Amino acid sequence: MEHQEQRIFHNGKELLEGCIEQLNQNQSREVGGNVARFPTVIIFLGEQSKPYMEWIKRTLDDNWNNSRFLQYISIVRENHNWSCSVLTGTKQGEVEWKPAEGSPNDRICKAVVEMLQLDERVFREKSSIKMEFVLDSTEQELQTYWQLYLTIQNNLQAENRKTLFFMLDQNPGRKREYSAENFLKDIWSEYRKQTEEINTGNSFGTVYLLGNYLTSGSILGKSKIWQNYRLAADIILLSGSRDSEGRYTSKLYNGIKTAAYALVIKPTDEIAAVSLQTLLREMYEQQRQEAFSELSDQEIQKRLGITDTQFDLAEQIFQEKILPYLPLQEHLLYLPFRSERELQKLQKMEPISAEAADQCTMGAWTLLVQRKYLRLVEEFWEKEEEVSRVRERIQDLLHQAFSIFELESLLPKREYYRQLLQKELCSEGIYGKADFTEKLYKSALYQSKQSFYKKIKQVLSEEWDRILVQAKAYKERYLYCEKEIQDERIVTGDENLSIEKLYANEVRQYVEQYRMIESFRKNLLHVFDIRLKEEEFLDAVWKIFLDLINQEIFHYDFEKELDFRMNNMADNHKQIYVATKLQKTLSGSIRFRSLTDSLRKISCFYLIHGRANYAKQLAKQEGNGRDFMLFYLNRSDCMEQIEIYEITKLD
Amino acid sequence: MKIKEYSKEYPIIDYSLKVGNGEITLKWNYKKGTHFLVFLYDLGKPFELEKVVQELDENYEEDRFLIQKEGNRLYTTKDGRVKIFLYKEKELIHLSCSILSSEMKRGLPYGVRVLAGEYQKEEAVFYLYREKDLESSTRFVPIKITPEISYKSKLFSKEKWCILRIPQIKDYIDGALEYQIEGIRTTYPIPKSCLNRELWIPIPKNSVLMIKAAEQYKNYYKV
Repeated sequence: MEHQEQRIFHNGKELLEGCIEQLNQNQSREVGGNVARFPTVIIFLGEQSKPYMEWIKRTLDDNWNNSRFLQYISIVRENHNWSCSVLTGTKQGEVEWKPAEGSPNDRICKAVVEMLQLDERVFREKSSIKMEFVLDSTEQELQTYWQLYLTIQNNLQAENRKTLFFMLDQNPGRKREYSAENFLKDIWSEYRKQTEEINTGNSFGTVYLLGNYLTSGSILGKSKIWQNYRLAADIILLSGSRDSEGRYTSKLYNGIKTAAYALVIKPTDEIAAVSLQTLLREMYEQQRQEAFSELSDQEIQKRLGITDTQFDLAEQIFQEKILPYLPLQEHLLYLPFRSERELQKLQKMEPISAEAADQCTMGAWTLLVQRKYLRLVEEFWEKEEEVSRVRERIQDLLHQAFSIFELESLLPKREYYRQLLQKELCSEGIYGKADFTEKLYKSALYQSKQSFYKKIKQVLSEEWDRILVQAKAYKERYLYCEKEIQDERIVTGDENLSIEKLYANEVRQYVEQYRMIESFRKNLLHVFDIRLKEEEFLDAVWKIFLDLINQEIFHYDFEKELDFRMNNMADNHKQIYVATKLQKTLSGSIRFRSLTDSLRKISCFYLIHGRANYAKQLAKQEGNGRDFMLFYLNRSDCMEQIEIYEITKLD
Repeated sequence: MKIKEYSKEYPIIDYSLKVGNGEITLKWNYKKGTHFLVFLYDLGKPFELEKVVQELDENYEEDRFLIQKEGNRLYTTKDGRVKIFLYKEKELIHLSCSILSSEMKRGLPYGVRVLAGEYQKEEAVFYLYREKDLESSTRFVPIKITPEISYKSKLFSKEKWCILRIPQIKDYIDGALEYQIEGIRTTYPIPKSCLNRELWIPIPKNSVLMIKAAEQYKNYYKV
């Protein structure tokens, strides 16, 4: 799998968001020939619009080759003062806002100067400067920002193209301290002064009112309001690109305007959701088939290495940690005796009981067993570090011995299996003729082992309980993750069905095909490690998803994907489908609700990838250049249509 | 009297103990302290400072009377196992004193603990300071054990007999003494039932047998 930046997900929803983002990033973007024609500064007034900077920047970066030379400034009102910051890149390739000194005007001037100093090849025309302002109507000091906008002028160049994208909150349900509607009156009043050539010292520029309450009645909520920022970026592209024709771009300037916006995009969200959900389901099924079998009592004990006389792991640890420190068999020759005869008596005994041994050794035998065979075991179990290590080894044993599906099936008989694992260790017995030291040694060793096993089986019992509970919790968490993803899906019609049918099948095939591959199997096993924390589990799923989307199908552009899903639809049907979709979306999407008839459509633009068939079809149409203009995007996963409206009256 | 937690102002430094001439001589250095309590206790029972001090307190109603008993045996606990002596500071940072050996019962190991105290005249209270660790404040008077060891060869054998006899020890605890055979790593704990008896122990022909106190009891017995 390719190396990806480390991401941390906390729940299924975040995982899905990450998957959507990754799919979007994987979309091929061809480098087109388009560049920003003029030096351009993008200025965010206030705090509300700042978080959406990415939506504007990404669109400009995708489509202008010289976008890295643009300047981004943030101006915020703080304690009756202006505070400016500029967007800079970090070593890790990210961007951040850095505080900058100077008044807003000075800051903007400095930004312009920096751009004017660049090589001639960067900006074709330096006689004009573009200043693109973004302001959200929910800002506290709206009037103050508006006044600032009006007063900002760049005196370096003869022509300044100043535009304000005013993000208007027309949500009828929202209470506001300051009425944006009242503010619109100020905008209108200022515009009237300009048209009547009243010298106010202000510079009006162009104002776009982009509201969230569309003419269709829909409201752009938090999850959709980014569209208005993308729309603003599109207008910047249209008005500022090198290849934009003057007679069309002039319609984008001056006055108060709004826009209708249709965005038809490859259904990446739904594709990600279906793929992820199916992936989870298929992995689960696959693993369940492979890693589940009905377990008999014997099988359980066998997997744990438990027999009547031995518990393999316990024996291993005993051999490592206890046995080397116990008195050896030959050391038992040197016990104290009452007399020579007592030793001979002991040598002839068969078997030797503890009492008989004590009688011959005056109690020294039992004391030796207590102090040198049993105490060592007690001291071992008193050391926290040792107990902790034993616990870890038992956990490893249990995890390797059983899959979560098997553990889950054992849960109902939890108590029964706990008892099964607690059964007493039996002595191996002594066979054949053994000398008294061997008899004594085996007896002492057995007592020592019994004491050791008693404790280790207690630990086994605790870990057994823990792993059964973990297995149950794991399954619940797994299913909950699937549900979280399902909840994010909005299933409304045929498109969802076709996506479900196609991509679910692709994922099934992927899992079926790849399960034979070692690296995939390893990653799959890792997903089903019940010791994983939530974030680790999600990360494991993420890694498999990243591999899945290397399949070609996930890199298709908009048309190819549509073609693929619509089962090789005929070209003309495809055109009709796309046109219908665009029209349907465009209808009712004007970003300004007016009580009176004050909107006049002045232009229409299609923003499409140059190689798209629909773009070629539009280019051949008679209306091209007259009724609409084509703008070629570098992105291939969407088609956009924008209609610009002049607002003739604000009431 | 009040017991206070360890303070670095009241340590017992370089504490030494010497047995001889019918007495035990104690020497130590200190930083601060007006009076010092010396606790002589037999090791047969755990020493609990709080209980002993409580008994002492009950015996002396007021501390100002207690501190007047300097240089003498201040108190003997009711069970007779702990004797307390009081000494006043003399030479600024050094103190030396002697306790008669007759204060100790024969055949019992003893611990001798020294703690610093400060008598606050205004409050009329004697503050006794705990030690940082046992190592700094306590020394021991173990009892000397003299085992009898002899050897007897075995004909045509790789082994010989070691005949061991350990005299009776008062309040002996099972396993406090052990024997060890040269070249054998195992040590053999000696039960009480083996005391004052002949023990016949087979050992390798070229080996010798030694007696030692078990680690836990090294302060009790000296071989």
